[in-house]
Amino acid sequence: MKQIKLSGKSKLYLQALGLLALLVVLVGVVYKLAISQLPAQRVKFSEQIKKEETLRQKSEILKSLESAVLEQADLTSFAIPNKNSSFAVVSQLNKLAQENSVLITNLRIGTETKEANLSSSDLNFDVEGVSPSVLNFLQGIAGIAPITLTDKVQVNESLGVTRATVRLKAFWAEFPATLPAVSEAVSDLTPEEVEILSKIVNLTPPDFVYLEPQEPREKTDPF
Amino acid sequence: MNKTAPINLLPSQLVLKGKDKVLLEGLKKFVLIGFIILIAASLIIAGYLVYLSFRIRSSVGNEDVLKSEISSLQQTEQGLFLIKDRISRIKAVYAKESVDGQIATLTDFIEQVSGDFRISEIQISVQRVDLSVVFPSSSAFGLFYKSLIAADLYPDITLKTLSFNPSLGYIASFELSQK
Repeated sequence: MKQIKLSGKSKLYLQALGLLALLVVLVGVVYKLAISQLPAQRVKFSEQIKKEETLRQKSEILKSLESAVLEQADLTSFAIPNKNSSFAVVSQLNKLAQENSVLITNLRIGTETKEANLSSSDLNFDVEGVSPSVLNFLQGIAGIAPITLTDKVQVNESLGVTRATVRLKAFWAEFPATLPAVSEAVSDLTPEEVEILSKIVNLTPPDFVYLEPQEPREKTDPF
Repeated sequence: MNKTAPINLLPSQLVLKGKDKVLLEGLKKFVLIGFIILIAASLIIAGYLVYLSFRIRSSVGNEDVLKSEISSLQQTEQGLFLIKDRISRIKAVYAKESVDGQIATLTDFIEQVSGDFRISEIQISVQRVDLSVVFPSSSAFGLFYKSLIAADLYPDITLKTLSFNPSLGYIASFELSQK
């Protein structure tokens, strides 16, 4: 094998050029690593911070609402129940009729109509009494929960008795079946939602019978 | 003073002179500065990557804490979710047309207005209110009509009929519209 003999000057040049080549290679490696790793890590970091911020916000909103939310949930559920509200509305109407000393007759409940996840049924009835009481009763309908909308009213007065023929709609909707994921953001109530909630607070909820829990007791005669 | 000659310990073939010396020294300096910059840049990049991974790890820790906090507030979350769902339904109901506003306006007016009159018929629909009122005298009718206009509740008031019945008095029918 033939050996190439280099002069001292060439060796010095080769050493310097070798170092330069090494520098270029290392710069390339560092540049490639920086180009691939830095943006990926930055994206991961910003996503993680965003996730944390979402959760922090959610936690803060939930903590701030903790004290009032259950009561408000009850009120809104009274306003739009998850089951057919017609009978609850009838009960509320009877209560309102008693308060205003009027008589409800010819009550008819229509079949369910479903429209965009909101069910409704028509209620038709007559109300009899003295004129101011009937008018107060009609005005009071808008203040009961479950929510109703009065479609049509016809009032006639004869021999001192005022009779109103009323057609209204009672509404209900099924409760949501699933909860959003823990990591999903929640938003606080918007001013519009707060306004609706303040209207709901003023509605008269239906009366319920609460059964107190009882201690277990011995049944003397099992039959 | 004696001037001593510089001592060269390198082999004579490794001593560069003139242009070669300048070029090689320049190249060496360039490589040296390049390495310094490379090391500094590598340290900065590595430091930044370590900082990012440290921040990510600490954020993941915070996330776990927040998740457990949110889990303990699950009932509140359910309540809020239910409230928002119910409010969206209530909004849909309130967006529908109804005569509730007409009833409230008319009832308020009838409660406020004074004078001698008797309402014989009211028909309330979304578009308008048809009202028939019996008055014992023309002055009672005038007072009622004046009050109806003064109340400024209905921009459109039409007196549709006005008749006289000797046994009842004056019978007036109005068409009232809020739109």
